[in-house]
Amino acid sequence: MAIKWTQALAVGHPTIDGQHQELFRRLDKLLEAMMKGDRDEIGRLFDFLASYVVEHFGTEEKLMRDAGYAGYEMHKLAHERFVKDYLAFRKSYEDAGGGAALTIKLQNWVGDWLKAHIAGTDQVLAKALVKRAG
Amino acid sequence: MAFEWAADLAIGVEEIDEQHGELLRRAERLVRALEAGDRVGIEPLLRSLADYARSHFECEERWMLHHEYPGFEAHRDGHRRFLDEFRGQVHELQRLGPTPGMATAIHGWLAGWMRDHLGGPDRDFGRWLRARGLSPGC
Repeated sequence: MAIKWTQALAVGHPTIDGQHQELFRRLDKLLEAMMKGDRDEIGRLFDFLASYVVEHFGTEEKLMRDAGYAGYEMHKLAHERFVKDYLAFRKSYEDAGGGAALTIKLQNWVGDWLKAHIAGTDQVLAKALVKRAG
Repeated sequence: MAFEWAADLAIGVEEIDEQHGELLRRAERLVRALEAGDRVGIEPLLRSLADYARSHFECEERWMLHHEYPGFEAHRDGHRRFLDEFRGQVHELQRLGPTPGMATAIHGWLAGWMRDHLGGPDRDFGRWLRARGLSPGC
């Protein structure tokens, strides 16, 4: 059970790719902590990820604004939806207190969302940014 | 029959194609009433077309956001332009009444918009959805 960043998910923009890799590493640690039921570590990772996700989305959104990117609005809405779902997930963890079912749910949801979002929306953004810079 | 559903208008996504069929039927009814100079009939048909167009656009846009469609903004702007131009046509109609010239103008504008939008941005969206095997969501 793991969430792994692979080269196939590279979008070709160093800042974005670097942040995605960190995101995957920490999410993987969160899943591991959930499997072990390590509540302190889970709490720390939830906090870290909440702020790291906001920072990463902020980085992408600034890149889009600076580039006058035409797809800004949709991309930002996708980020907002993720943050909302993340917070809802954390709340359900806090209410239900973990468990295997919730861990699998997190892995499926976050894995599917990240892969689809990175392979689609982020890929399109990175291409536009690289093209603009070149 | 100016707004008859034709196979080449199909974008290959059943739910959207059905809604486009309904949009064309409502446009056809409106244009007929305009051409007949049917003052009483026109008003509800204008509203019926505008209402349906708005809910259909909302459906497409919700779906685009859900699937993170990269052409969302441009497509949404096309919808907004339609609704703006529609308001302009209604305004002219109120000013001039259902004259034959007005009927021709609205007929031409609607037919052109439907052809361009269904055959352009909607076709692109349909192709994008089909390539990913995505299914309707509204």
